[in-house]
Amino acid sequence: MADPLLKIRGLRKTFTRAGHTVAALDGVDLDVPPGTTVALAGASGSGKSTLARCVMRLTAPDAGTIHLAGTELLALPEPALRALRPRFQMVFQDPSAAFNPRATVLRALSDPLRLHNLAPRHEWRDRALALLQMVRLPPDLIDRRPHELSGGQRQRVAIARALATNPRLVVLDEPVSALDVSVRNAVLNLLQDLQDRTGVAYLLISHDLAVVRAIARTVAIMEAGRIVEHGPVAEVFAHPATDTTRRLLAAVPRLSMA
Amino acid sequence: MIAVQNLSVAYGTAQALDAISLTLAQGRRLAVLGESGSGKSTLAMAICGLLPTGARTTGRIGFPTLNAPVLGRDIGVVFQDPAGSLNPVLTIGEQIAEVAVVHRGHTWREAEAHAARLLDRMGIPRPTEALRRHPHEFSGGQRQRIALAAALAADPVLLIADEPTSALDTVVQHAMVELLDSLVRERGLTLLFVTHDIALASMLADEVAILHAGRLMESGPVAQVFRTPAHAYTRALLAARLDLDTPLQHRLPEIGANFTVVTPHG
Repeated sequence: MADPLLKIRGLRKTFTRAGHTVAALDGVDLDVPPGTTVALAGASGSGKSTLARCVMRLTAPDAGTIHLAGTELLALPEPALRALRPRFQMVFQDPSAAFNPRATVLRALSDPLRLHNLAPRHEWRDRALALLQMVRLPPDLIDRRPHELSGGQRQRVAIARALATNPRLVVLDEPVSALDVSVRNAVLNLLQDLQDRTGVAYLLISHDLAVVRAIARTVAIMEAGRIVEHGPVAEVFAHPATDTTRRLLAAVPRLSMA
Repeated sequence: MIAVQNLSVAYGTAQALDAISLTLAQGRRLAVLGESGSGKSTLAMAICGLLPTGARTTGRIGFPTLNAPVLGRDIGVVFQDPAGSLNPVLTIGEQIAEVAVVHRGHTWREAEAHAARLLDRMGIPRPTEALRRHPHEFSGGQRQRIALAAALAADPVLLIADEPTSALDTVVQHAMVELLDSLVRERGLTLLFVTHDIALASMLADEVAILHAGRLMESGPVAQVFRTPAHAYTRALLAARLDLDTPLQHRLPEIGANFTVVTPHG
């Protein structure tokens, strides 16, 4: 098997809240192979979002290592980190909170090109149009602002922005939980198509095992800062080994016609 | 208990509801199912009499079995975001007890004991101590249970719940749905439950009304509507649902124009 694209070892993070020390991450090991989708599933407070924030270097862990394509991210000084930023991106749950409300779609999509000096100014518009086409949005959205888009359109723009720098890894933090049912599947299909075309790997953060099942190959189940179960989605779902996994499975709503 | 006749609601030039008629019999549980912009919350708020000023309403909303119902006393309401129902500067005990004082004429002492019993029933640990705490000291799931306790404190006969679980993770949502289900049964409540989740609608309701873009697509008993859907939109929602039977890592059915369902090839 190829070396993992993302390799996390011994990650620890404690928070102090109201005098209590809480281990948000209590020794986490996790691999994401290139070009695949690994899901990190758990209830609120299990530590999955803290782990995502550590990978993005938005939160500094107390101990552990995170390697991205062989480079240790946590020891990286700011200039080197900035040079590596285009390789790992994130898509957030709430597409309306992820945008500057005054910036147009063109601005949102060309910002990463400008920040990382990936294309000259005269190419920005064409690159943004190509990105819109890639996420199956019409070109006339390019001069709109976020509030003029539907929730599904905003999340497609967020995905386009994350992919603008041709990343190797995208962290998807509950990417469809704020979306309507009628657009959710199209966004999940889009994510799978983009992975097939570009070889991007996804670390999918979700509390919903139905979404995990739809797009992930491997799943790690978190509770209280630890990964309590880990394996191929088909095996873990068919033969859950822990109560945590059984509780998450039992919580998926089922159509009842009794 | 509720009879809605030809109800239309407009905000400015935007038509939020367009000629909705439906009834809900006493003791029945109705799910109002729809996506954002369907008008499902507008319908619930219209029934509560809580539409914003400036909403233009035509049609009729009647409560044939209730005599001049009062919100809070005869009708309890729970919102998606418990911040909408709970006051951050008051203790939860004051907020739950106040409902029983105002609407049922309890003394404060009686009302506090009543509030503690309700919190215990809601599964809030150490209820007597919890009464003295403020909303921010509880988790999102607990806050929603506290809001439910306040909604039920005056023993209403009708409970209106507007997406009470959609801000919660699936595990907390599951526990909340089970709690709501058992409370509705043991108190004989009539329930109007607003949701975007077709599976939750089927688990919690006897009847379903499906709204899209302000219009009623179809309504009827859950088993009938979901077994033999009459409208293409209902069929599309059924086809696009995700659950533990969804095939692993396959392309998913997408809802297209006129509610056609297409599964692309991966």
